[in-house]
Amino acid sequence: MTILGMNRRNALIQRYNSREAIKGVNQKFRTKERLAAAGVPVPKTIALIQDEEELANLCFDELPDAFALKPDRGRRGEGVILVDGRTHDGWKQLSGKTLTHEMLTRHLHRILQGELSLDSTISDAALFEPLIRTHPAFARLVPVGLPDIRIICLRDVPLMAMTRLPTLESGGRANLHQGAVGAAIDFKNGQIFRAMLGDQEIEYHPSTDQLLVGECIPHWEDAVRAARRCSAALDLGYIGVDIVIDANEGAQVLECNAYPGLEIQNVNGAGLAARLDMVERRARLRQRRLQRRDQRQGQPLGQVLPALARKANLLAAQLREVWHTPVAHA
Amino acid sequence: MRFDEDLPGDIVMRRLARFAMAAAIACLIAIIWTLFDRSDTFVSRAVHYVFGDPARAWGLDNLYLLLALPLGAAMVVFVRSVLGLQTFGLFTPMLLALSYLQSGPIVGPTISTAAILVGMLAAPILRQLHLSRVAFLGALISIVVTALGAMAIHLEQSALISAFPVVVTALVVERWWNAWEANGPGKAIRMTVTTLIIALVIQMLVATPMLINLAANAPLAMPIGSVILMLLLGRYHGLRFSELARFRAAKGD
Repeated sequence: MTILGMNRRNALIQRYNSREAIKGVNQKFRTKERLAAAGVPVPKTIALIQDEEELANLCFDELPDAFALKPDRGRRGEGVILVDGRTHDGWKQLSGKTLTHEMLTRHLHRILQGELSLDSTISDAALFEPLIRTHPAFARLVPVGLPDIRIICLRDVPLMAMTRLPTLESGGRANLHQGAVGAAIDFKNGQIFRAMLGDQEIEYHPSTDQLLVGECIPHWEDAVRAARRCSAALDLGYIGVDIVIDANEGAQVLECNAYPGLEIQNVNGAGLAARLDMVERRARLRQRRLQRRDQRQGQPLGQVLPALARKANLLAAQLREVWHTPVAHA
Repeated sequence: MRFDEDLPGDIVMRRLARFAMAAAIACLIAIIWTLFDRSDTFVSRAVHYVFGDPARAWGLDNLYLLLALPLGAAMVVFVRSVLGLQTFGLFTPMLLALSYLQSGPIVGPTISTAAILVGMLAAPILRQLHLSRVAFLGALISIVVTALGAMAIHLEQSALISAFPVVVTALVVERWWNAWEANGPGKAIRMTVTTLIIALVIQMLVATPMLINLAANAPLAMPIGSVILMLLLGRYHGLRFSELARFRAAKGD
């Protein structure tokens, strides 16, 4: 069986992803810092508001004209506000509505109180980031919304990749279950070779009628390079990396997932299990080869054997002693 | 939902599912009718003919139920990791089955399902009142328990009023509400139906004469066997049965 099922995925995550590491990726700001330290391109931070005092000191005029506001521990894009351009009393949201200063303050209060977070019992921080503007070659494919790339890696080995393209039906969200298109990407050249809408194989995007199959992802090599560094940076052995392609900044890692879904296999028309097996087998072989080399170089057999013989003699002497000690019979 | 694009097979399946639901609810109503109104009508005669006396009990002793509990757990593990069906709560089906075994083969499922249905009808109404979550769940559970108690008093079924079935039913309603909030109504209803069916299957399995004999001769055989079975099932890393359909599109290579 070459398809990875839930059972094996859960076992894999148990083995490769520690509990602390899984918790770690829930905090966007910390995750970004760790990724950036490992040389992974991530969106800049305009401001981080951690408590009410910092919120009181926030100067609205210093905020840029376009930004994304996120809860630090948000879940699945909930509580995210995207604005592009100012109006006389605030900003223009991407959804078309106006965001006044008052609304922004109220939203920030809600984020700080943890109302929009994964665990709503504790307070959260609010994160301002520059608005991502998708690379024109990529943005051309979709009607609205932010298309992203998902690459699944085992340690630093990329296993499978797809891009999620929002449709009108998905309301601009890049979520396959809400009706976004999933398109499989070839690692060799960054070309889309298969596109799926639900369980239907398609060639053209349903909302824009653009030909998807054969389309190249811009900055593909940068995206793969970024994805390969995430595992070590976050200490997650099995990881799903979400990447966006910004028009100016290129590939940027937006989020890392410790429980990447399995739907990518349907999009690719291929299973993950065979690839996992291959990577694990190679890792085992490499490790064994290294061990053998270490033994040859570090500890010549001439040192190992006498040491072993000494240990055996010691043990034998102890045993003899125990054996010959008379037992007092009461 | 895109009904116009559905395949004929899907439409047939949906109709069959609806028909089965309607039949199950009709059975439920007929049994409840017979339980409450003990006069001799064609409904009660039909129920007696199909199910036997609906008010009868299993008559299993508590030690046997305790010994059978691991078997129920093993069944749940099997259903979740080999068949891949989704139930709510890890061992809710096992607890439900145990409550059925305590109160009777027909009366147990009927009464607890009826109580759960009462809870399901009450939940949307309660939600209109904008209560806090704890108060909401508390009120919901109280309503369900009250309905259960009322039915038990009317039926003079002491087995129903014993704490265990009541606790389990209340638990199911809470879990059901959690599933409703997390996954939406359609999935919650499907999970409820799966949970109830698995509970019924576990009930039937635990009450087979073969296992009762086994427990009489070798009391620890069943629990130890169940633990071994679960250890084996826990190492199963293959595909779940339901995933064969889910990954149909991935079978390209």
